[in-house]
Amino acid sequence: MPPAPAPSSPSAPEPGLRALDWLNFFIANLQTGFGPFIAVYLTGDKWTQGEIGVALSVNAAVTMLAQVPAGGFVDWLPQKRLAAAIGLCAVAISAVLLALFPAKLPVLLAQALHGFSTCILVPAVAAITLNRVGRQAFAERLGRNARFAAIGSAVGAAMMGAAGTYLSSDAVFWLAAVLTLPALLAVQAMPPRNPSEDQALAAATEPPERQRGTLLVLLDRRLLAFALCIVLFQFANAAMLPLAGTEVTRMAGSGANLIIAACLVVPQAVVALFSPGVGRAAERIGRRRVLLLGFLALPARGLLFATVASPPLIVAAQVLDGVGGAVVGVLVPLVAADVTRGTGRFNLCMGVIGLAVGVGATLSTTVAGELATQYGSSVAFLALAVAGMLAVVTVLVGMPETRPTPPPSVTARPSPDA
Amino acid sequence: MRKALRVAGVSLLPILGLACVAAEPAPPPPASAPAPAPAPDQVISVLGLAAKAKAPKGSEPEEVGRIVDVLVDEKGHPTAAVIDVGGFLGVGNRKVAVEWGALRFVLGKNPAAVLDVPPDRIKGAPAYDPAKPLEVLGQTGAEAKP
Repeated sequence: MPPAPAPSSPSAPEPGLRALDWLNFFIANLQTGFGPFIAVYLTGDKWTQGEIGVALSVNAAVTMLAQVPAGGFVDWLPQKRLAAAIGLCAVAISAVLLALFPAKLPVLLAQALHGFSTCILVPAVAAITLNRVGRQAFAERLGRNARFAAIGSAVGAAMMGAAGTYLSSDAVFWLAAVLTLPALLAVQAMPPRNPSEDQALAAATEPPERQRGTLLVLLDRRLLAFALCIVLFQFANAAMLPLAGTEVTRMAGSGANLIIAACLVVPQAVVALFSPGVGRAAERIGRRRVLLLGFLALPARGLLFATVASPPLIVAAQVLDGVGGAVVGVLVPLVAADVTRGTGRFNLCMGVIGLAVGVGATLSTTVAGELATQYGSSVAFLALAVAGMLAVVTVLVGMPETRPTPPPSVTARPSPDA
Repeated sequence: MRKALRVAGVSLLPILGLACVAAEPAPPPPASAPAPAPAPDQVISVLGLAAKAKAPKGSEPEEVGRIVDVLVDEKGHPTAAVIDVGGFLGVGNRKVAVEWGALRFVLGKNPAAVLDVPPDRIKGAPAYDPAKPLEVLGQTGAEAKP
């Protein structure tokens, strides 16, 4: 029986899906205010470097610790839109705290709150997507989500950059807080699913023999392999842009800020252009091949950064950042869905992969920072390129194909991950 | 008579005490401190202070970063200021050490430390690393290793 066409054709999304577009846009938009900018903000408020380090570490630690529990929480909560709303409110509170009270305790609280909210938001949006479009259209819809998130990031970088430069540093966080409002509206605008469908789902529990315990899900070889690949990817990837940024500042003089802005925007443009294609390719040629292609961008980018000195070429190399980002951005929720089909543990799995991302990123910035100060940035980039190559080899050798064969059920019934 | 003597003796005690205090040699002046303490509006806090660079053709000095640390020698004389320069939204920031004497402090509504060095030279100066020998950007923009 030929599969039914995907319920959401990209050219004419239903209103609920249009709201999903905007949700992705605004979440990415307001998240650009957080991250490395916080260090700049706190410096201006007379925080010492040591104190700033503590604040950033609190965020990193809470994010990593909260990933799996937050994923479990989103799994447990039947209303995924409510989970997204909770995450958004937490981000808003965090932003207001940062803007109003740049003192030690409020900032640490805000950092912890923000970490926690990110851990809720990412799985919640993916879960909402899965519920709305079903498994068959999931991959392509993820690509569309990534597209709108990339546009949101690029617009966010411009807005926050302008706010920080022309208004004040706190303006960035006020802006982030204000941007949670349209995001909440987008959550609200998604019509609740058909009540009779909800009842049917509530009545239909998974037969016990098909329900796998949490531990079995976590120990699934496919998940562990994928998590390892993601750790290696992030280890190679996370430090590249910050390191390249300091090189640009060192070499490019007065135009440096503009070049760094371009380095931030170019990968987002690539993600916006190609993510839906990545989603389609993941369905057609399989997850593993797409992952390979995306991972290959890493050692290439590392080599380029290690060897070229000209800022325009650095910006051009950032296209590869976009390639890797598009692939990982689409494949993480996709593989998580593949691996947890029928288990009701989708968000837990997203949390595990989120943890892998955090671990890889932290190791990356630590090791690459040390290498750069000891031996110079070229050595650091080469080391990252080697790590990228290691990631590619791991995918080749260890990553199984997770695309379900045969294709999932054609009734287009949303998954039981309600 | 005795009572009068006692009263006189007791009242003399504070006078004697004051005389003792007055007779003490004045405490040594604090080493290398200016005589009057500056008023609150005559000082600015250096941590987080905006650092500005000489702009081309006499326009407004351009902010390049913020002072994040002050390095002093063993006598307590400031040697250099560590400035966090550059970057966009926190990406690409670097720390450079700048000779203390090259800073001109501007008080007032927008306090700042102004350097008579073009922004490019500041941003391109060697990175500050506490573990390594100090490399300091000097007044003329030349790099010095004290």
